[in-house]
Amino acid sequence: MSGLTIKPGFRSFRSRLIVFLLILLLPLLGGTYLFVNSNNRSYTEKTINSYLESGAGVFDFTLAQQSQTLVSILSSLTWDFGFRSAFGTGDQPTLFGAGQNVLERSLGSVETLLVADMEGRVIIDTALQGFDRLSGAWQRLLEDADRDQEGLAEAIISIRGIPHRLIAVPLYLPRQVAWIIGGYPLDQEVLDRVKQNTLSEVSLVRVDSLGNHIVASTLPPGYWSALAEEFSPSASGHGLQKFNLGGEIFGSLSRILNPDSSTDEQLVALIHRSYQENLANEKLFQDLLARFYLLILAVSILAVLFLARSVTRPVQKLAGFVSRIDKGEYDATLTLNSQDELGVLADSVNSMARGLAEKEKVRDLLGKVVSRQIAERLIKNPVQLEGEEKVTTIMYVDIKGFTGFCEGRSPRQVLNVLNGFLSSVAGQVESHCGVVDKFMGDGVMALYGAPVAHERDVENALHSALMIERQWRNMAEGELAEFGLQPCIGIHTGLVVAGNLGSSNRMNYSVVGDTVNLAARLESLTRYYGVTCIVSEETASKGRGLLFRELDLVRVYGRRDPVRIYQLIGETGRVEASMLQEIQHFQTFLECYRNRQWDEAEHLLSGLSAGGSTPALYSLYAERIAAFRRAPPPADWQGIFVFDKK
Amino acid sequence: MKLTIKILLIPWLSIGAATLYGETLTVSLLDLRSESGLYDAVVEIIPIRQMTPEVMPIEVSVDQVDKEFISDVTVVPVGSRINFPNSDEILHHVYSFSQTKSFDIPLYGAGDNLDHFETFDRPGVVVIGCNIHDWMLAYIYVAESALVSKSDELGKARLENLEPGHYQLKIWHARMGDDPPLIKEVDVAAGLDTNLTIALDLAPERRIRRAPSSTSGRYR
Repeated sequence: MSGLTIKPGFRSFRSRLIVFLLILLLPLLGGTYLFVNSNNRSYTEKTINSYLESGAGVFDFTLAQQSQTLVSILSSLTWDFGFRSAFGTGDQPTLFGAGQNVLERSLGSVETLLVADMEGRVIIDTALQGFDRLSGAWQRLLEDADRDQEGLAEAIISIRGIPHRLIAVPLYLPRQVAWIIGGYPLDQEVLDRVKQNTLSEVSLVRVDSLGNHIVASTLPPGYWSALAEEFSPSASGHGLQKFNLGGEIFGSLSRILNPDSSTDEQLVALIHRSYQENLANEKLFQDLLARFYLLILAVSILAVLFLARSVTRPVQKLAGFVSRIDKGEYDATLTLNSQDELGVLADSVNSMARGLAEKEKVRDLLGKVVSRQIAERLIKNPVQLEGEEKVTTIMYVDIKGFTGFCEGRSPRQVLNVLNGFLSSVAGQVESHCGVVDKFMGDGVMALYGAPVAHERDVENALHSALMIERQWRNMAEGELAEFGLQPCIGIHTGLVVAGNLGSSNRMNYSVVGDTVNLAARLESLTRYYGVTCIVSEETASKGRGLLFRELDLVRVYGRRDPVRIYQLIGETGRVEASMLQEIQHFQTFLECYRNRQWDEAEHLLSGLSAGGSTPALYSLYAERIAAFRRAPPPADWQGIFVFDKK
Repeated sequence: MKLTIKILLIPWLSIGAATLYGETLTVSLLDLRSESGLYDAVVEIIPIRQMTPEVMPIEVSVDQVDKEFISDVTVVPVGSRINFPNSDEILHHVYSFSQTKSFDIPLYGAGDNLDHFETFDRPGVVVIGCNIHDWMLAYIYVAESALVSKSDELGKARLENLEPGHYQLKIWHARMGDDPPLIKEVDVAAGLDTNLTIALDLAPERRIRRAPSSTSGRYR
């Protein structure tokens, strides 16, 4: 038999769908999240880099622009007749005045001006540094300018501790007669200007043997010392550096402003960009993404719930319907407004229910016509017109005196009594694993061991006989007793042919054989012997826990071998002592009888007849002995009594 | 600006017809940078023991044509007078801040200041320029002696009709900048041409470049 087996796991289809969805969706969403996040981070890096590049570009451009302005102003001095005239006078105070005039006119583009002759002697110096002759970095600046075809050179030189961008140009009169060196400080003002244009922070770091010194910075002063500590000059000019300044992360690009400087002092410009704004944007984006994903999840779960509901509701309906079928409610019809597979399934279940209903009708009918076990067997196994040999115990039950009882009574009354009896018999048979093979008028034929054999078929048959007898005694009080109605039971155990008997269109499950006949004969003999139940030796020998009394050795009609027959007394241990004694005496009697000891036999019989339980039996033997006395049995008589009619 | 001077050759003797005060000194100047003759160098000799020829001042014009002085180096004896005519259609403003001679002739046009002479009464070098056109640059060499000559394109400066004797030789070139002239002593032998070769290693002169489009256009 094939069956549908569902592995244990999720309790509901809905949970399974949700888990499936999560297994499908979570890695996807997680992967996307990581991918987007990683790209976002990389984009942030790129953005910061780009900001920094552009900041550095603007810084370079600003310095270049300022230098260009410086060159323009300084170069124009050499064409300025006033300045030339002042120089031409050779009067230092006049030239100093002219120099200061230049500073004022330059609107801050030139903040310091120095004029030196071709030998490097200082003629004027607006910064009043107090040296007469240029040396060191100043001298190198002039040497650089002298090497240049245009006579231009620039350098970053500290004036009073502040780095200045200085440019040297020749003063022509009209031949070069001197050097003009002008410059502006790289101070907070320049950095502020760069910041205005780039929105990036700028710092200027002087690196010397003592360490890093922040010359100026647009960063909050609180960050300066951290920057001085974190900045590594060796990493300058090698792309992006990151600084953690007071908990804020800055990406920085560096520019060495005096790469050709021969001094140990190095001036580095750092263009910074805080990650804070971008990180905040990144965080915002992450939050948005997370919310979006939660929304997707929620919508998906709702969709799954809806989907699950659309599946589970019909399935639950189906399950409920099948459960009703299981309880035997075949008349219900399942209606699913669905055209899908579930609709098809519902149709199939409906069709199955109809089929089951029909089967059940057949089963019900069959159960009423034949016994339930036979009906089951017929339903389960294909009906075949073939039999099997099995050892079966057959019990025949009948009512003695029923014909007389019927006379003068209405059929209804008769049927009531009869059906009460038959129901009682059938109930006992079935409760003892027996099968009612057929009802025959006021009689019943019951099978034990066919169609299904049980371990204790014989005992079951004997016990059911005892119960029938007992029940009858309880039932047959009053009116029934008056008419001498009494059950007659014959039981025999033996080999029978069991199977479906009949034509291919109509058949009965039944058993046939000598065993059946003998059982019927034994039931008939009860009237003769005046006992309720007669069993064959085969049956009695297997009736463990039960007490029997041998009645006779008989050769029944149509049967060659004699049969030893027994009266079923009751369960061992529940039989009264007087009965046991009676049985003992009867057994002794039988021995005398069979040994033709007529006198002893009669003597014993007369003892038994006085207060015996079966007077009919004793009077039968008394008559039989009297007859033998008249016509003794042949010499080879073995105590067998022959019945020559049914 | 450094000046490096190397004397490569000593004078050699050449036989020639000896005339009264008829000796010739040829100084060949070699530019070590370009390895060619040094053009426009001034060679002046001053007699040390013999009688100094009388210096005769002259009048010279240094014209301005196409926004250039017609001569890069003008050699005049001390006391000479020079005017600076303007042959362009635009105004020029000639000036000098040289210690030898400082002057200033404010803006003037063509035909103006023809009679305005500047007297150069001190020997030395005068650098002149135009205040309007920065690239305009010329030199006036005011010689203290009458025995002065400029080197030709081959770098040769020739002084003739010299009295044999001992002379101080001054060599000046614009590329010497503020450095004083190279001073040597030379003997001019009688009856012989004196040839002198002097190699000079002079730094190139840095000059203001002429504006690219200034050579054309009426009002440039």
